[in-house]
Parts: sequence; structure tokens; C-alpha cells
Amino acid sequence: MRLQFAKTVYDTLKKDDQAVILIGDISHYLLRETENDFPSRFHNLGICEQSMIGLAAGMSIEGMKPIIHTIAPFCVERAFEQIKIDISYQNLTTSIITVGSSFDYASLGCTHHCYEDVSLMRTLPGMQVFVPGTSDEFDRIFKETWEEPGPKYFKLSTKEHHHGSLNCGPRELVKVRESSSKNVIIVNGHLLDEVIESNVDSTILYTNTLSSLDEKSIDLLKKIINSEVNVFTIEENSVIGGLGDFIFHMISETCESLPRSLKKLGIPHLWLNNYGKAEDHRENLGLTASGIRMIVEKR
Amino acid sequence: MNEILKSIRKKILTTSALKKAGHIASSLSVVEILYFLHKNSSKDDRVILSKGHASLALYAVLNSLQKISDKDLISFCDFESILGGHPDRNKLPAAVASTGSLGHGLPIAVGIALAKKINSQNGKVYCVIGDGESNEGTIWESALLASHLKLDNLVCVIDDNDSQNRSVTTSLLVEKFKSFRWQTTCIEDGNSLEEIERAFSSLSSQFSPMCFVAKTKKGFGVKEIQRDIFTWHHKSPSPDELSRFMEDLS
Repeated sequence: MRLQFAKTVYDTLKKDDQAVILIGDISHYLLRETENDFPSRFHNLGICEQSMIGLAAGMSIEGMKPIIHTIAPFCVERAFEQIKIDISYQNLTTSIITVGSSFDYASLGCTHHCYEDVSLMRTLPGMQVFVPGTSDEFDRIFKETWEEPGPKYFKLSTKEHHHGSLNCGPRELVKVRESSSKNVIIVNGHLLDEVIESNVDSTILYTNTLSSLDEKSIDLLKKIINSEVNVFTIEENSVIGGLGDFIFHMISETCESLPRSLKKLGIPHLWLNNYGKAEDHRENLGLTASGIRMIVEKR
Repeated sequence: MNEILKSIRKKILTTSALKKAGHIASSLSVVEILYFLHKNSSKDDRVILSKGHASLALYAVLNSLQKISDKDLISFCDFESILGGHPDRNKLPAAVASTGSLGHGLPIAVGIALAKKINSQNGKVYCVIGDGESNEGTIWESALLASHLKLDNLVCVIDDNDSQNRSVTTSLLVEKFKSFRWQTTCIEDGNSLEEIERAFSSLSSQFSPMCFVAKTKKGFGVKEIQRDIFTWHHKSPSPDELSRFMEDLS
């Protein structure tokens, strides 16, 4: 997804002369073509994440459209107050694109993990929050929302799902599979692969947006949710404030009846002190096909 | 002190007394700086008050320049007022940036200056910060970035009212900004409009941002406040105090 990020940024700077890319000393090699072709609109601002956000806000005040890029915890968590005050409160047009999703940097330990970025971003009024599941999805969401004013957050992960034909756009909730069973799984990101592989008899819905849904998607949610179904949300983010809370909020705001049961499967409210690889963490947390199957069948 | 500056101070004190709100000591120290910048700025310039708690000084200055109505000024801190305890750019566009939490204005000013450079736009960006605010790490990140980006359209003015001497003094501000490769000048009396004008008359720089460290007095113009600046950091005058302070300014 990081390669696609570089291509999408290049296309955007080429198309819009007010687009500018600010990086926190990462991805410079990937962006070398952008740096070569648009030197005045490529700025590596070093390890100054808080000021990078403020600086982006200033550029936006002058009518530019900054894209901010660095590793998730150093942007979202270190510079949260800047994102809150300089960008969200002032309602300025900026796009934040992070890498180092959840435990993508597993071996580097907790300082480099970020499970709560989506949760934090969701607390900010006006912030659109996207978790694309594939490179193509990122490219589509980014370009389709580029002209929309206000702040946006894009969480990029190393792993992608393999169901690109879903072609899920921004603010869409799409039906992957419908079943007559009473189980409804709602998933985002690459974990869609694990859900499908789990082979659980369930309706499966997928989204890449965690801030709002369009009318068609709300209609789908209303059609699927009733008092007899068991809803499971599955995400690679903290269960505090992530996809599960977003979906349950949407259900409570839009559906006529509540589901029979609700279960959030994601990253529990714990420090993940282990190292290893991202797969090891998924295995440990049950964010796998067999783990998903076990949870759903238990209910 | 000229009559306009006295009148701005009177507006600060009467508004604070009326609404029981505002940081008057910090507002009184920065009057000359804000008056000079707003009176002399063009439509291409931007002036940011990063030490947003001195908002009452900003509002009183803009009122004296007829950019804020009397009605708006006396609505200060009312529930639906456009003028709060800290400036909000979406309610008062002249504020340019919404400030309050310290250390936010200068990074925003750097961004505005950079955008102006990219788009070859005229005008300078002025950012007023406090000496206490200079404790914040973002001030020094921004100082580093602004000189790295060679932003000679950026001017930082420090309202050095020594308010931080009770905790962690950010001493040697001139030397510090010089070491960050800013063209830096000390204004020995930052409550003298003439001295500010003189310092700014030689304003020119190539390839480096500029900084003016203006030595000011917290509570300037009201001796009682100047003598007890910590009590008056966030306190409004009673009717008796107000009449004594107004007499001081007469």
C-alpha cells in the first residue's frame, strides 16, 4: 500500500498545484520522483511531528492542500493536540496518511505500535476516517475525496485483502455475502480475507470508512439488522472506539431494532508487549480464520 | 504613552471588569506590539497572536482600529459572542489562527509563510509569542524549520514580559534565536511604540526569518498590577480597583 501511496501522491501533486506533501523523514526514497518533479511542494520536515501538523494547518489557511505523512504513533498520538486544535477545531483541509498500522512494526515493540489511531481520530468532529483494505481502494478513496474540504485520516497497512472486485468506495458499506443464518459479520481492512477463509455461515459486510456512511449503505444496514441477528465486528484496531463502536453507533442511530447480540473482535484493551511478526500478534489475539470461527460459533 | 494606547488599556480594563473575564496583565504588556502590527499590516500580511490568552488586547486594538464594533467588544466571553477568552479564526477572521494552547501559533505561521513562498505571494507573516510560551518544544521545532526553509517573510515578535520568572525562565532569547539562525533584534523597551517603530524600520532579511525580542512589562500602565503580576495573571478588577486603575492611566 505504501507504493501506491507514493503513486497517488505523485498523481495528486501533478493534477493540483495547491497539493503539497509534508513528510516526517520517512518514505523519501519512494517519493523521490515527486521530490524531483515538484521540489517546491515536497518537504521533508524531519522529526518535528507536532510542528509539521501546525505547519500544514498554516498552509491550509492560505488555501493549499497539505498531505501529511509519517508513522502512525508519532503523528496521531504525539501530535494529537495539534491535530485536534490546528486542524479539526479550525476545520482546515488536510490529509493525514500514516503507515505502521497497529502492529505492522511488531518487532519494534509498543512505542512503534498504534492500535488507537482510528479511535482517537473518530473523536474529532469533522474528521473523516478511512482504513483502506487494498492499494486500489486507497487510491480510489483518496482521489474521490480530494476535493472535499476539511480534515481526513487514512490508515495504511502492510497487509491487504484479496477481494478487490468489491470496489468499495468512500463511506460505503458493501455486502460481500448474504446468508440466511442469523450471524452478521462486519469487517474492515485485510481481515476480510480471514473472515471469508473462516467459512462461517454468516452474512458478511465490509467498509473502509469509520466516520459516516452514505444513504445506500445505511439502507443496507437497516435491511440486514433486526432483533434476531447476532452482529460481530472484526477489526485490527483497539476495540475501544474502532469499527465496532462506529457500527454499533450507526445501528443505534439508524436501525429500528437492536440486534440480538453484539460482539467486538479486535485488539483488546491491553499493551501488546510481545515482539515477533504481525502474524504472531494476530494468532495470539485470535484475529485469524480459526479464531473468528471459534468466536462466532461459540455465540 | 499616547492617548490611543491609553484608551486601548482602558478598554481592556473596563471590558474585563464588566465581564469578569480576561487575562489583563498579559494583555497590558502586549498592547504596543499588537497596535503596531495591526495598524501597519497590509491585506497581504498576516498577524497571529500565539499567546492567545491576551485576546482582550487583540480585541481592544482591533476595536480602536475600527475592525471590531463596540457592541462586539462588550459581548466579550458571552455565550454567543464572537470574542472569547482565546481568539477563534472561524468567528474572527482577523485572528488568522485559533490559539489558546501555547506553542501552536508559530508552527502555523511557518506554514503560512511557506505557502506564500510556494505561491510567490507578497506579504509578511507576524507571530506574537510570549516568553513563557517559549518553554514549549514546538517553538524550537518551528525555529529550526523556519531557518531551514529560509523563510525571510516570517517575523516572530516575543512579548518578553518575564512572566515565566516564577518557574522556568526562557532566558537568553536573543542568543537562542540567533543560534537557530534567525536575524534577531532586541527591543529594550517593548512598551515604547517609538522603539518598536524604530526597530521595524530596519526590517529586512534575506534567506532567514526575523525575530524581535521585545522587553515588556506585565501589567504595563497600571502600577498596582505591575507590582503584583502573579495575582493579576487571571483576575478581573472590582469597581474600586477599576477606578484606581483608570486614574493611573489618566
